[in-house]
Amino acid sequence: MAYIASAFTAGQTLTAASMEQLRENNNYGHNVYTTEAARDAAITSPVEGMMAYLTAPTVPAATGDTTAVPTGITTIYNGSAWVCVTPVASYTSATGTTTSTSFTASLSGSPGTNTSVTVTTGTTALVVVTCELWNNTGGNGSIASVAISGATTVAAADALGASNAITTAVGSSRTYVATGLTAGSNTFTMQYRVGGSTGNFRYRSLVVQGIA
Amino acid sequence: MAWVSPTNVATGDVLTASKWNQEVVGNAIMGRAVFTNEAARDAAISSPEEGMIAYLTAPTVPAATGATSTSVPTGITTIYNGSVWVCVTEVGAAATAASQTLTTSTADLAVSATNTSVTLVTGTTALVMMTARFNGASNYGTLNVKTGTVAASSTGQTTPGNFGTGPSHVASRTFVMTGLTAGTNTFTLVGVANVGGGTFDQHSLVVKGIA
Repeated sequence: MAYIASAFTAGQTLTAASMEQLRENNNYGHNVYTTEAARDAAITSPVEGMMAYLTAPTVPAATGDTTAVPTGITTIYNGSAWVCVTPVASYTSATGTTTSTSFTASLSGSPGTNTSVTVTTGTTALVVVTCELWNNTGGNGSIASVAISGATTVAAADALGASNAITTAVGSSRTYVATGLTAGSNTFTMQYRVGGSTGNFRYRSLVVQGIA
Repeated sequence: MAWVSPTNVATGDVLTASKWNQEVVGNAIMGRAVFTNEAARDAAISSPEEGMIAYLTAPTVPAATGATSTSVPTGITTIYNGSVWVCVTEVGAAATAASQTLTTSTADLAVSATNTSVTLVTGTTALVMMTARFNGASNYGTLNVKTGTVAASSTGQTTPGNFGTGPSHVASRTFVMTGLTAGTNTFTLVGVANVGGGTFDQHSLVVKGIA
C-alpha cells in the first residue's frame, strides 16, 4: 500500500479503509513523493520540521568523471526550504594543472570533468573537499577550494580549501559548514589556484549535504 | 507513548479511544516505526515500499572491528530504498597503534592482528570517511577502503606521508563509494607503501549508508 495523505471533512465517515491508510502512513514514518513538484503540490503550506522522502528528485545533480546522485533523497523543511539531507558527491581522478594565482575551475592538461554538486540547502551546508595536490616548485602553495553559485554566490577561499606547498603529492582534505547561503538550489564547484609556479591536482572529490 | 505495532482494521470494528490514541496519535508522534531488530521489522512490514523509515533499538547487522575502539550504534535508523533497508546511522572503528609494516602490495591494515572494518547494510552507495597517519621517513603510503565485492580504487585513496624531517602527515578523505552490491557490506581499511617499511597509525574508518 502506497503512502497517501488525504484530508477529512466534517461529517465524513471514517472507514476501515481510511484507518488502514493511516496505519500504512505511520509505517512510512514520513511523507513520500516522486519529485519536488509532487511534494510541493501536496504540501502547499509546509511547516518547519516536516520530512518528506522523494523517490525521483529532480534537483540533486553532480558533474565529474564519477558522480553519486542518490535516486532517493530525504528532505526536511527548515521553515524556508526543503533541505536535502542526503549526501551528493562527485569525483575525478585525472590530473589537471594551473599556473593561475586566482581561483579557476578550468585546469590544463587532461583534467577530466571538473567536480561540482548541486543540492537544495538552507543557509548552511556540510561540505567535504579532498584533493591530492603538489607544486612543481617547493614553497609555492597549491590550493583546491569550493565556489558556490545558484541561489548563492560565494567565491572560493584559501581558508576553506585543501592545500600543499611541497613537490610531493599529498592528499589533503577539509570538512566544514558553509554558512551564509541563500536557501534554495546551490551549486558547489571545486576551483584551484597556486601561490606561484605550476600546481597539480588529482583525485578530486566533493561531497555536500544540506543541514536541517 | 511508545510505538505500537498497528493492527488491521475491518469494516464494523469499533474505533476506541485507546486504539486511536495509540495507533494513530501515538505512532504519529513517534514519527516512524520502531522495532527491536531487522527480523521484527521485516515481520511487521512484509512488503516495504521505497521511502519507508524504521528505527531499530537492537539491530543485529551493524558491526565493527578495531584495535582501539569501535562505534556500533545501539539504535539505528533504516530507510527502505526500494531494494534494501539502508542503515543511515554512522558505524565506526579506530586504531591508535601502528599497523603491520607495509609493503608495496596492498594489504588489510592490522594492529595486533585486528583489522579496522565496519559492517552495515547499504544500498549501492555509501558515505565513507577515513583518516590515518603514515610513519616512514621520506616515504608515503596510500590509504584506501575495500569491500567484499569492490576493490580499493583511486576514488577512495588518500596519501599521508613523511616527506622530510618534520612530523608525519595525517591525511583524510570523505567520499561516496559506488558500485556496491546492495545488502550487508563490510568495509575494510587497506594500505600500501611507496617503498616498503612504513606503517599507518592513528587510523579510523566511519561509514554510513545513503538513502
